[in-house]
Amino acid sequence: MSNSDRFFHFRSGIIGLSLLTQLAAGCASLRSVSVTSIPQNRSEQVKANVSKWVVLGLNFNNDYVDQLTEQLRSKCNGKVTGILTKYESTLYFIATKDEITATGFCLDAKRARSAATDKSGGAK
Amino acid sequence: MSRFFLALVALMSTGCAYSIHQYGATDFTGMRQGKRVTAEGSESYILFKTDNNFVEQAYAKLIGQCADGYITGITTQYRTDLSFLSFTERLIIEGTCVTANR
Amino acid sequence: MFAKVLGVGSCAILSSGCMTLHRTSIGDISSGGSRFVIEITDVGINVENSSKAVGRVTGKKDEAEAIKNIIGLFQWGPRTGNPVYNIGLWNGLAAKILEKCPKGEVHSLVSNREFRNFYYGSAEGVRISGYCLGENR
Repeated sequence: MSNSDRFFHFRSGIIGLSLLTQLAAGCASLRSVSVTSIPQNRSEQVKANVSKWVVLGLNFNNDYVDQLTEQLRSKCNGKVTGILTKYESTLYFIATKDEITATGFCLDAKRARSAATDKSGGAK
Repeated sequence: MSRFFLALVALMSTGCAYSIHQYGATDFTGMRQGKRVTAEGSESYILFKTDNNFVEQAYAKLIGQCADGYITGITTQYRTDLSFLSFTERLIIEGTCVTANR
Repeated sequence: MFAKVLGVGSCAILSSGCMTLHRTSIGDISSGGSRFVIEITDVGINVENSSKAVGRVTGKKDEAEAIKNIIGLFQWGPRTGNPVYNIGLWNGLAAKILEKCPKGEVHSLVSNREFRNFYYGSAEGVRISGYCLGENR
């Protein structure tokens, strides 16, 4: 057996072991993350979460994402800012769970209006 | 295996390799009076990872550094430090903390 | 030997220059200001293709394959594009933006994480454009 074959088998073994463990625990990956300007008033935190299972990579739409803003809107009567958005996927052998979590701070409508008219642009 | 190849392996495997996944910024407004704050969330994994908790860790650290102000001019860098059968996920968030009394 | 180098070189030229956009993000859009662009470009190495080429040129394919596997073990983890080595280039984005726009009033920021493929490696980069209110440099 050549050196190359030995390394190939060693690496294949590692990958196999990794796949076996994934079956039980799931292998997570972070697709994207974003943060918007964070307000001074952080007393009211709101959180929204949407997810979708995709089996064998067969996915025909991403409409579930639209529910995220709807959830945030329903939880806050004013402006939501300082939004941390996390889009992650967890692989369970033949299925993937795509999940988006958004966490932000709710500013009441009155405060939201004053922030919008503030020429400095900061969500105070 | 020749010395040349061994030298090449040593050179390649000892150097730190990184993968930059995401890099960006939000608007910079009203930040002349502010101070820059940096927060890093990181977590090391062996072979694979099962969570992305380092994201919330970085966010909480950033907020913790600006208790009485708002944060604008936020830049984010999400990268992986590649290593031997393991890796470290890092999210670095920088922002400007602007307090009302400044 | 010359033919091998020529073959490998031709392959590199023919397959070069293809560009991929990994991620893009757009901030709030406003009017006014003058446009600026920040570009960061780093060298990414495609270990698999590079080691194949070294194996072909030197005639030591087995060793090259072994090296590729060893490096693979040392560069474990999720990837976007090819690995880069000079992380210092990517630090201090805010300082780079403020250098372009010292007054610090920036809007309409667009960030593109890009990758230009050169077969044996790649140009790993980011291009950030925005508009600066007031004077910029």
